[in-house]
Amino acid sequence: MKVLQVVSSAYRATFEEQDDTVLWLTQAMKNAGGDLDVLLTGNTVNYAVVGQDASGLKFGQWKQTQPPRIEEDLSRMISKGIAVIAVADDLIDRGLGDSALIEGVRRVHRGDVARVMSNYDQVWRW
Amino acid sequence: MKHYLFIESEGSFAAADAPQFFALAREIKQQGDTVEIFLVQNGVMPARAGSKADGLSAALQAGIAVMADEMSMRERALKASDLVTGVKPAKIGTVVERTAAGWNVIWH
Amino acid sequence: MSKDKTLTFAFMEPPFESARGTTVFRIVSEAVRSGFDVNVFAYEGAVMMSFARQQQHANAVHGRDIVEENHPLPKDWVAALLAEAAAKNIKLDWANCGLCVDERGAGEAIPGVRRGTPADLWKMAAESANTLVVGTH
Repeated sequence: MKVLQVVSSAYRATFEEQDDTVLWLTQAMKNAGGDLDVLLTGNTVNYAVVGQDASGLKFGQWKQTQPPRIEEDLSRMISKGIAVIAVADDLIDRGLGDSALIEGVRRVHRGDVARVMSNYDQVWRW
Repeated sequence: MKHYLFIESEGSFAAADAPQFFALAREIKQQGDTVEIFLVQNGVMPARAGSKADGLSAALQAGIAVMADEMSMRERALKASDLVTGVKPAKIGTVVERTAAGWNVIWH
Repeated sequence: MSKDKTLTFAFMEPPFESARGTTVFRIVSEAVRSGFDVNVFAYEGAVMMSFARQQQHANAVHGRDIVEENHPLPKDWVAALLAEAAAKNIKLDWANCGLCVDERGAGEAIPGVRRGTPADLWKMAAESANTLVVGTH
């Protein structure tokens, strides 16, 4: 069974969780033998952009020591064989059409998403 | 050929990408797969005749079957006679039936 | 347990915040009513659905005391579905993501609900006819 994880909710509780919960779940299932790829849609295409920095969260004497590092998470996923695909039109809509993306992230035009989905047994949209 | 059930729970009044979700349904149909749309929660509100929401009419024009959850309709005083032509009331069991039949059921 | 007769549902919505939780319960209920074996994987805020310390309250705005108000508690919905499945001799495996439980201090789930892991979700899905995922914002 091959599953396409469609991630659409971006930066939701990433400071609290120190990651994206769906990307985390995807890695955990991959480690358990799952066969999954990721499609970044909507605002989550920003996850593919180089230069994200979530460090510096501080409340009183409390300081976050392990901020979310989405770029590292995506690179690790790609290195483990999880294809990470970003919708190119969503990048363009957000002024990111020419931005440098994390190495290994593939772009797909919105009009080709239906074709991409047909390559998977199941599509899970989070 | 694959089968898809798209569940729309928000509609374009609340979700800017709802029209894209409907457009994806149209593209799936165009590539020869089966697709239906199930409206639930506030997703039924664009199904009221006279609604100015984006996306739904194009899906209907593409020949996609569109259903509206009966409980969500009732909660919003939306009668079957109020629905835009082409949208049919349906029970939540439709989701279970399609899931059990192996359709790709995708929530938005 | 037949794979063809098993459905898996994964969801993230916490209680009392949106309509999604209720809809997920309606879908799960329909699956149980229809006689399917059902797996539920509660992820992130959804683990609070089965938190045992949920309590009813009176509602002065409604003009009702605690008994009259009979406030819905999702833990009671989970319990009712577990009881219905047991009465029908079908399986309802309700698993809460364990780490999600820990970070919320929500270890006290109602009886019949278990801790689970992402590996359990993948196993559930692999052993089911199909899986429906309901995320959150």
